[in-house]
Amino acid sequence: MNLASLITIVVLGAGIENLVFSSALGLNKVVLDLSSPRRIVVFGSLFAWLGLWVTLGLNLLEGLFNKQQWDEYLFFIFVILLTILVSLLTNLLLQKTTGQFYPVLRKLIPLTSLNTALLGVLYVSTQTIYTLKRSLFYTAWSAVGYTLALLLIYYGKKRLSLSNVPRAFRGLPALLLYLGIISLALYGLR
Amino acid sequence: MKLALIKKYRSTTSFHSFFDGSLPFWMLGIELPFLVACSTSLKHAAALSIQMFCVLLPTVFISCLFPKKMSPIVKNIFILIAASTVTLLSRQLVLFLFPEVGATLGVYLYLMAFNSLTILPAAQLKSNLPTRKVMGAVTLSALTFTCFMFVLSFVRELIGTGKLWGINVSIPLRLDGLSLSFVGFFLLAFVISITRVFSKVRSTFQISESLRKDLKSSPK
Repeated sequence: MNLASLITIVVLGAGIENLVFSSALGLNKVVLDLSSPRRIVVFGSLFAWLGLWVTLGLNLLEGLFNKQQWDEYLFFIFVILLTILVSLLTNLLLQKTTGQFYPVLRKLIPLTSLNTALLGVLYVSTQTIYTLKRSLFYTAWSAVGYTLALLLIYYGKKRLSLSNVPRAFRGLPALLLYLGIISLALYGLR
Repeated sequence: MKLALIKKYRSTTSFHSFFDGSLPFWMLGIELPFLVACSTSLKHAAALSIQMFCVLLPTVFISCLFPKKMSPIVKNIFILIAASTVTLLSRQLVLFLFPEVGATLGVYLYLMAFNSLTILPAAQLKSNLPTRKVMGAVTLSALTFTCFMFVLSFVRELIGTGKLWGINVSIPLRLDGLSLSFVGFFLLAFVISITRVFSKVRSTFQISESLRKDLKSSPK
C-alpha cells in the first residue's frame, strides 16, 4: 500500500463516504441519544474493535471460497455468525478486564453489534476493497468517521436545543436539516 | 375540578401526540437509513415496507417469548439470529414481487435485519409492557415507517425522475437532484414538520369543538 492509496482510503472512509452523511447508516434513536462525548468515543472504539475483528474473519473466510461461490448470501451469513462470536468474546473480555466500567460497556455492545453501520462498512470493505490490509484500514477509518459524525451530531443537538428554532422544526427536523447541510457539503467534494 | 373533561380531552389529543413525537415509538418508525437513502421510487417503498412488516412482527414476537431474566447479550444474539433468518426469507419474497429492486437496493435488503425497530422493542419495552401492547406499538411504528416511505418516495420519484411506479408522467417541474441521498434529510425534515403543524391544527380544532359542545350541553 502506497501513501496515496492510504490517503484515499482515509478520505473516503472518514469523510466523503462517511457512513452517517452519505447514507444515514448507523443512525437510530439510542445512538442519537448517547448522552456524553466520552460515551460516544467509547461506543466508537467498541464499533472499531468489533468491525476490525469481523473484517479480519470475513477476509480469512473469503479466501476459503471461489469468487463464484462467495456471494451476498454467504457474506451475510458469515457477518451474522462472526458478529455473534466477536460480541460474545468481547463481552467476556470486558467482563474480566474492565471491572466497575463493565455495566456501562455491557449496554454498548448490543448497540455496536446490532447496527446498520456495521453491515454497511463490512459490505464496502470486503466486497469492494479486496486486500486484507486495505479492508482493515478502511474499517478503522470508517469507525473514526462514524465516531466523529456522532460527536458532530451531539454538539449540533446541544446548540440546536439552545437556539430559537421554529416550533414545527424543533427536535428531529432541525437535526435532520443540520445533517443534510453537512452531507451536502461532503457531497460537494465528490 | 372536572376530571372527566380532562380525560375526554386527553383521549382526543392522544392520537395526535403520536404524530407530535411525544411518544418514543414515533421516532422509532423513522428508520433513517432507509428513509434517507432508499426512498427514491415507489417500488422501493413497497418492497421495503413489505420487508419491514415481514421482519419486524415475527422477530419482535419471538423476542417477547424470551424469559425476562435472560442476559441482554444472549437475548440480542437470539434476536439477531431470528431477524437474519426472517430477513433472508423475506428478501426472497420481495425479489419475487419486485425483481428489479434487487439491483438497486442491494445491501439495504439485508440491512433490515439490523434495523433499530427490530432490536429496540425487544430490548426496551418487554420489561414494562405486555406482549400485546408491544406488538401493537411495533405495528404502529411500522405503519409510520410505511407512510413516510411512501410520501418521500412519491415526491422524489415524481419530481426527481418524472415517473410514478416506473411509468413516465408528464410534469411541469423536474428536479434531478431529488434522487441524491442527502436530499432525503431535507425532505424528511419538511415532511415531519408539516405533519406536526397539521396534527397541531387538527387537535386544536377538535379540542375547541368538544369544548363548544360541552358548553352547549351544560345547564345554564
